[in-house]
Amino acid sequence: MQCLVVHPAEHEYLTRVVLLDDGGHQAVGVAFEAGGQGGIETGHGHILAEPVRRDDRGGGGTLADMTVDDQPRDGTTRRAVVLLAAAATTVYAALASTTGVNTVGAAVAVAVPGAAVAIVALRRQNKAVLAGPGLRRGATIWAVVALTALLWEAGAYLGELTVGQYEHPTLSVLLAPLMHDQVVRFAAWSLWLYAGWRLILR
Amino acid sequence: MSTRDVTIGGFIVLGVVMVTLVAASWAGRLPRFGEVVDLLMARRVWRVLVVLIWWWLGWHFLVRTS
Repeated sequence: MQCLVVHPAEHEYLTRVVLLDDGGHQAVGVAFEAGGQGGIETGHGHILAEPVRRDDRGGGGTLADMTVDDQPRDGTTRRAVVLLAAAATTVYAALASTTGVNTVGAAVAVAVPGAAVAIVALRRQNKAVLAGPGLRRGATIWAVVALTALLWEAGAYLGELTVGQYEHPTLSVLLAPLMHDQVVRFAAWSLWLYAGWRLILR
Repeated sequence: MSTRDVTIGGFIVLGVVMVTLVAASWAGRLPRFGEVVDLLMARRVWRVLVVLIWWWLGWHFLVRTS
């Protein structure tokens, strides 16, 4: 059994200490001292930690069976999922950024994550969100600006088709020279995939 | 001023407005863009619209760039 004395007032600049990490430790109690030395150190506690025996948790548990002790493991799983998703996104973005513009490969590369995000997002049930006046007002402002931007881009696209690309350039046309750069293209793919990942999480 | 200048000027103005909104949300005067997306994603109808816009952005900028 290990014992750690905590003095918050003296260690306020300590940025990070792993007290109960994922290495198999659990809190078994916090013992507070009633008095300090000369009335200076009052009320500090001992956080007691001991290694967790894996068989203490039992096997085949469900979410309903989870206790506070399971939270570190749950956090580890979440971190693993996030790391795996980040790695997969990076690899996918690297591969997708090698596809040329206006090619079937690029269209497929957009279609696959598009379908995945659509399936996950659309299968989700509606949820109640408390929207106060501030949030509604903000949503309205953002919606107006986003709609204006979309309409401006659509107008430029129509102008591009009817008048000409030089006179009515769309934003994508203006950014096209940048998008031919491999690094910028990789960054754009990564950003788009990250936005899709965030949509799944919401 | 040519129509090209007007078109590009419109994009610049919209960009400045968006940056201003982001700054206002960081300052706490407006809800963050993520909160607005959360609100939209709560209902299926709006969720479809958000996913469509996201997909269209990908197609427009990553597939068709000219």
